[in-house]
Amino acid sequence: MPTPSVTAPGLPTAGRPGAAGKVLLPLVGIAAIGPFFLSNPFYIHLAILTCLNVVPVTGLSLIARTGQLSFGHGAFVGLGAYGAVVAGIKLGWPFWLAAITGTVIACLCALALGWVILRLRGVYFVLVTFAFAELVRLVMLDWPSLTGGANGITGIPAAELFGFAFDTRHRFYGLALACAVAALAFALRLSRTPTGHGFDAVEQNAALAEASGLNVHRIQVRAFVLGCGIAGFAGALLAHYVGFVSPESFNLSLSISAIVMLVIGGRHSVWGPLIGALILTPLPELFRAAVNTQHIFYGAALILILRFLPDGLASLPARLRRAAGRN
Amino acid sequence: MGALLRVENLSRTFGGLAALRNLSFEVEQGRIVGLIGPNGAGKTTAFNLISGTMRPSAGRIWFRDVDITGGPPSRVVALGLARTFQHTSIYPSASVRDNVYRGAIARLGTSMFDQLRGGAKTRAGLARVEAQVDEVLEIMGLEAQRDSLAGALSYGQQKRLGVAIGLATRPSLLLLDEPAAGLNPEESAEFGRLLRNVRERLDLTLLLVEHHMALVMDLCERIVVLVQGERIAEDTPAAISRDPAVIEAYLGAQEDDHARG
Repeated sequence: MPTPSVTAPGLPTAGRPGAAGKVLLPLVGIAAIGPFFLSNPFYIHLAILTCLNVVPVTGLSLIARTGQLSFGHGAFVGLGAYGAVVAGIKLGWPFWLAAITGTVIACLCALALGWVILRLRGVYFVLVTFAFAELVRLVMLDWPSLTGGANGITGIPAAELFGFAFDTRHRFYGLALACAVAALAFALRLSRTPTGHGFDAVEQNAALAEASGLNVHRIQVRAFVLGCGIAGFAGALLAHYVGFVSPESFNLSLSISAIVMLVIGGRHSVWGPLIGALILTPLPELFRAAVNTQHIFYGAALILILRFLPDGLASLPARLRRAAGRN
Repeated sequence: MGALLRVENLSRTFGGLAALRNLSFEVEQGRIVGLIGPNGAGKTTAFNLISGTMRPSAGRIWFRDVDITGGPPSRVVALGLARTFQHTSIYPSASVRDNVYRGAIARLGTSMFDQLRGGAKTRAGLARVEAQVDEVLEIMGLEAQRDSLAGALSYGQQKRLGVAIGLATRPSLLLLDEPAAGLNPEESAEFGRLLRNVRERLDLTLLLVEHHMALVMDLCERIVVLVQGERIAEDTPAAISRDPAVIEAYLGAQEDDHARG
């Protein structure tokens, strides 16, 4: 396919890596292979969690690309997780079918919710997604026959594809890595299609997009359904890695950490979710000893980034290049 | 088949205030029609109603004999009626080429899945889109700025880009909301030549709201005069400029403007 896009140099919206990206991406690629040779289970665990964060944050970035901020992203991870686990355990479906079920459930909920509320703008949309997330959490709590209530569901078997069980950390890392790469590749590909350009158009000037024949409501619903579906898929993966789901696994703090990763990584770049997850997954784990300082760290980092680097760390190379060019 | 655009008894009230009362007029295929009137006469309201941005309180709008009353704008654009905005509306952080491209993609008509796959239909459609983008950039004289950031263009270039985005949707009728606002007399005359050229090349019908009287008188073939939400005259520019009702309304309103400060 001919690349349909010629973009001005140094644009934050550009999906393709710049000079710095061409150096960094192979490094990330090499680093991604590293965990296969690590023996310390904690490091492999961190690598898996990083991949499991890249996926839902990429989903959130699609929603953000149409100018909306969801405060209920964690709930869609939860819907996917519970959907997959219930399908897998109660119905006995194989992992791949259960994961698809979880993804579809997240998509359907996003479609129903998005169709109604995506006419809301700005803070109202944020509030309703937040309220929806609480609703989902309460349903998980108060429907014990299906969800196990506050105790959640334990004993979720390891993921298994075509008779191959991802039952060790190394094996599961392979699966998580493949899914993270797939999510990023999807986002990158999408950003270069006319549909992706439509997302950007809606974010940057919704009135002009509508006046150019783009149906803003439909585009935002589509991005919301795609983003939430990816979150649901990530939930299915997460549940089969941790082996256990409970309503508290998918509370507000999951939604917030996804937003923080996206903003710090970069909202307007396909690579933002990757950068955000790479930095913010391991960091809090290293500060585990002082659990409360985690949130202070999150807050401070968010304020600093929004103040000095509103397009996140992904925009740093372009910024530096421009600064160097000026001198 | 009647006129390209028919506006029938259009009214719009805001709270108790009537911004537009019983406006009716027609735009014939191929014409350049001006909509003029003092500040607050309801010109922009009329544009918002016709383009579907706003719902009328009463009345109907027909485009190519299709009822387009109440929009939504994306549907109206799909039928071939596009608009530009009074305050230049562009995507400042995208390149000039991407700005125009975003105007053209609504006509692509292929599914997201076909686009992701890079299917034959999408490839053929994109080739058409590219050709349109090139054509529109050439017509509007923005080829040299193709890869520049839209936000970095001069004011006059941004106004041309606003029209280019509208043209990229391939309209048969283009509504221009004060295309020459903020331009000096020479630039405004240049803009007039440009619009006439656009009309010839793209077989377009134009309806414009404009304050620059010289431009309106020079460019338009018919003029509709609005005063306080009501149509007081509709005629050729020569007849309009002699119409005593128009002259009085205009001069009176200008005094009002001064009184308001």
